Amino acid sequence: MKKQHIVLLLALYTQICFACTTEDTIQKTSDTAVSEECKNKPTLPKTDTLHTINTSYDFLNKSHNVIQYQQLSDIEPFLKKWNATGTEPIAIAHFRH
Amino acid sequence: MIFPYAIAKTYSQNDYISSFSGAWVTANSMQYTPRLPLGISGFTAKTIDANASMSFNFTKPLDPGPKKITVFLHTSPTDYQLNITASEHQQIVKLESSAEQSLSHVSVTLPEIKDQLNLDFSKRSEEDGELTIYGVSIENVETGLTYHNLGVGGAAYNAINSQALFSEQIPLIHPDLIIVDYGTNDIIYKNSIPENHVLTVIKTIEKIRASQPNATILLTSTQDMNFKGRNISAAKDFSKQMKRIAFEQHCLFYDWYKVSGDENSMKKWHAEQLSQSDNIHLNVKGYQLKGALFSDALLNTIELAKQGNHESLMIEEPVEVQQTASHSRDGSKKTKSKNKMRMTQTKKVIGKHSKAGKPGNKSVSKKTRKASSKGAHKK
Repeated sequence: MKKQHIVLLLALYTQICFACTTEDTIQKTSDTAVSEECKNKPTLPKTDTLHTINTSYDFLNKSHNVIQYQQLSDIEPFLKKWNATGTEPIAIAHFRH
Repeated sequence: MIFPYAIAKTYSQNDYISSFSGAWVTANSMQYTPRLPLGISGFTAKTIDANASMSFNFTKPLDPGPKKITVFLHTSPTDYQLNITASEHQQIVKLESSAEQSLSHVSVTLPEIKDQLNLDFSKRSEEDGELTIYGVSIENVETGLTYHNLGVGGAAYNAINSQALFSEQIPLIHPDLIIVDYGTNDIIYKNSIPENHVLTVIKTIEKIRASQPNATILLTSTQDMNFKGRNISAAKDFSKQMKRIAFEQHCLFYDWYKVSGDENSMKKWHAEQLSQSDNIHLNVKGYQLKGALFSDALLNTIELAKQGNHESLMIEEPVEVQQTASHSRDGSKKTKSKNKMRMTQTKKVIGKHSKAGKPGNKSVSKKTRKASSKGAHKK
């Protein structure tokens, strides 16, 4: 079995991002099969309840389309507020160029 | 949040057009030193005319139902009268002059707005005086999500720091999530990240937390782009740097650079007719796609977090990036040894601020973090 196939199977099994399994990445990961860089990327698990925009743009890394945080307490206040939206208002302020 | 962009002679959001009467002077956060004190919209307009007005015409009628309209303004030393009209509804408000610039605002509720909102101001005496407008917020009265779009065309990362009245005015819109979404104008002209960028971002975070300690802050990265035929390769390092700041400062992070396709992806957006010909700005179709993706990201994150699937959402400790790398014309990175300033040096600065910025949060190791994540999951 070629190394590329191992990486691909690992990617399938562990849901490591497919975007990282390029030739370039594979060559760099001769020892570990999956690079540290690849491991460190967020991946959307396959779940029926998740939203995925229906587009044919293959250049988008939709598997990375999540908001990340360093620890649960960083997002917890917002999640609590979100869960209470039936009874309380919630506001988002978007400062942008 | 809306503003009469016609007064500021700048482009508007595409869901309304503004018009005005009277002579106004304006300022915005694109100016390095704003000519007038700025509020949360990033724009300010001032007039000394006895009568002045502004109108907002919405391209699509607003959703039916009562609307709370908050006008951020200031009058001094003369009192003004404000006549607010929408459809057949009208409210007249007396505006008392105030020595304190920051604390003035008026709120009224109209049964509906439909497609036009008019604000007519008139002086209530012959005295000299001035009227200053910082923005107008329209909110549904019913419980739900309010999204405040606070965009200033051309603004860079120092925008919030330059808004003198930010801290006084932001509590009035009580945001739970504050998205700080700048960067393009910081890196595009020199294809490099400004040397003081980390400190600018930290100062911004501290300013937000000082007035909104319970709000969650979300940082973003910029999209790949081209400027005058040159790829802005600094966007990649910018993404890494923002990720590290988010990690250290306990902010959320949305890696738009990665999601939108990584390096050299702007040409693909352009080929798919999702961007404008400048290879920087998206077009309507492109922004709609970006909005849909962000919306998906937010909903997915909430869903995954609810499921306790935190591992897939955690920011892993980012790799070191050089803060001030210059980039050659073909986009490849050139590092000048005298300009080398690794993020490990920056980390000390960040570490100094992190505890003060958000009490109770500590930087933790990868192992500790994973352990705490598992603990949290059990809860």
